[in-house]
Amino acid sequence: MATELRFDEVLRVFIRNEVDFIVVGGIAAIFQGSPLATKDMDVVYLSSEKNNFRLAKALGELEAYYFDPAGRQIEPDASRLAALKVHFLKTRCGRVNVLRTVGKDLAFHDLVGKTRVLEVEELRMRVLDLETIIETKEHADRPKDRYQLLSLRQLLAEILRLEAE
Amino acid sequence: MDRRDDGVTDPEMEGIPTDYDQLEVSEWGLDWGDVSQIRDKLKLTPTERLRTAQDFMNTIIRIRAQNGYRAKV
Repeated sequence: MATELRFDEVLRVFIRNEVDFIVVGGIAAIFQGSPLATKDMDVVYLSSEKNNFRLAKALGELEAYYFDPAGRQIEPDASRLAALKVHFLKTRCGRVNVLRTVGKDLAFHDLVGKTRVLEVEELRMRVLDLETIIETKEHADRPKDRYQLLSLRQLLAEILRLEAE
Repeated sequence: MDRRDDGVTDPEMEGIPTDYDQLEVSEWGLDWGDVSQIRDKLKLTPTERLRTAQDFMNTIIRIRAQNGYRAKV
């Protein structure tokens, strides 16, 4: 049975557990008007002892385990969250990529000044601003990023046009 | 345009694009369909944007599952 995507539930669980995080990537772009579909949610977390513990607890509630080509079900914990930069996870609500950095090795503290607080499903959260999403995609420069950049740059142009009106 | 593929002149069609290379392209290389999709999304709230994206992907996932598709990852 395919997993139904419930990113709203992921956000709810993170916020209930008081996790410090920033929504980045495709879902952050969707919140700001991107029409591009995505099957996974990317978040950058504050890597501190307390926050890693909270995040591990939230991921436990989401029944998260690492994507493993060998099919094992290895769970993330506070120690792994402290030790590794990138965690590709499967959860009961869909795929969630939990990251310590994005782009040019930008961590939570580097990004927090480049976020907007948005209300989604009555939850308030930090979302990476569109300009910085574009910068991270430019830095990643994979074929799919190059394709997405056309749409994201157009989106930014449309937003600026609306603001000028 | 006002000339049909069969060569017959059709003045009523003057100015109406009838092939992709006649569509106006935006500053970032997107065509009318892509740009209007962005403009439609900008009329929604962030919550509505998440719901429509999620519903869209879940519909694709459901149709794929109904047709025997199994993701490798």
